Amino acid sequence: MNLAYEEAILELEKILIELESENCTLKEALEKFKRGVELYNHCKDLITKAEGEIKIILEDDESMKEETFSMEV
Amino acid sequence: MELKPLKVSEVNNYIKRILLSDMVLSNISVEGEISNFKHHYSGHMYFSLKDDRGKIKAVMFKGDNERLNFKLEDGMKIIATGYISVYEREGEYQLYVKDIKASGIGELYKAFEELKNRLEKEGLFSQENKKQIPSMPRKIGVVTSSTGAAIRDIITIIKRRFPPCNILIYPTLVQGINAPEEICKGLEYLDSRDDIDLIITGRGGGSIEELFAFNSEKLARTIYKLKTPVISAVGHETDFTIADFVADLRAPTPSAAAELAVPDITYLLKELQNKYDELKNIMHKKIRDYKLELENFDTKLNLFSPLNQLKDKKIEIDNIFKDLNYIMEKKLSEKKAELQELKGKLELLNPNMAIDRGYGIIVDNRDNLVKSIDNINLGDKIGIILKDGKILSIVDNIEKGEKIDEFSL
Repeated sequence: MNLAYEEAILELEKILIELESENCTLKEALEKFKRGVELYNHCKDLITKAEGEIKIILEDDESMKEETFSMEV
Repeated sequence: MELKPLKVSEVNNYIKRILLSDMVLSNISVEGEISNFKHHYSGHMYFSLKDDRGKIKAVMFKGDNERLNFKLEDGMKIIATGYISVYEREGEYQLYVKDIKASGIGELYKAFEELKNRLEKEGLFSQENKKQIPSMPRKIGVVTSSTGAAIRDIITIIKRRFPPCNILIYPTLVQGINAPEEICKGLEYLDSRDDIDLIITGRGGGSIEELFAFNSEKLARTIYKLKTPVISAVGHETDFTIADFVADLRAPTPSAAAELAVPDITYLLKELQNKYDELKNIMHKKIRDYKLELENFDTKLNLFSPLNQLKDKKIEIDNIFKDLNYIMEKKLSEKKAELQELKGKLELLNPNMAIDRGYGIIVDNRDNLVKSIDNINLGDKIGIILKDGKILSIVDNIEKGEKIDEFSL
């Protein structure tokens, strides 16, 4: 799944509304439910799996590079 | 007359006493620009005050300069209050400073107001030009000093609130004449990258002179034309700079900027969990409803099932059969009784019965029953049938009349 968190949440909310409405068949409901669980897992992975990097730009006359920034200075 | 020579120290001491006893010099305020500023490791400050035509040496001792709420630097215009005395070792008079006010503050403030009004009129601060701050930035660019408290606060809070966020620091000066230029360069550089969702620029608290960089017109115009949303985070809550007005969002402090920049992961996870629970609940309810509906159908189906009708018919048939049975039985017993009666009657009519009792049956010679004397003539041969045989006889006499009573046995 390549959705951004906000997009995934929006789709999940849409599914909740659609499921809540009566006019959907059991087959549709099951498909929506499955998609909802996928979206939930995707969102959770997005915010819990990755640890952000902290980098600093070091620049001299010639070049520019990024290095990991450490607060223990 | 030859004057008695004085020693150097006596002269200096004498001058010192004259200066200290002078009404004006013993309590004086001097306005000028700082030059040759030195903050000695002993804590004392040494500098000169100058204007366009002159210069005076000045010293501010540690005990006095500790109370200053801003930093002194060369070029700053101040009003220094103290007294003038002599430093006897060097034979120099100097200003002993007890307190300092920044004389330029009034002018700085005037310039600030003028710039603010001008940019406001141009629309640089207008709300409709403010860019939306992303709700969940993947990478935040920070333009500030890499050694100050500001960057530490920002990193600490972003890491705590939203660990997956990446941070890219563009280190710059945040005060001094070159600061605005560097900050602008940093902002433009980060803006030119396509992986930066949000920029924070700012610094910790300081005097109005120290925050000067963030009041620069160039910086304001640079922030205004950036494509990336900018949060300004300059000084303390009470400090407002031009950068604050033109930024897409003003944070009162660098820490607050970090709070505003990223969502709280615990809140997000809670919100996500709620949605997941809701999803499961809706589905459970749906399945329960379907089950209930199915059970309803089952009940209805049973109710209208042909099996049921068959059962009814069977009962009906059973009832009919029972009725039939009853009627038949009744009829049968009636008939039986009738038969019994008939049997009785029949038995009475049975000739054998009469014969048994001693009656005889008279037949003619052709074995026809003779019931009346009219069927018989004298001399006819007749037979008399008894219980155990037949008597053949000839009619000898015929007497007319009903004399049955005479024959009764």
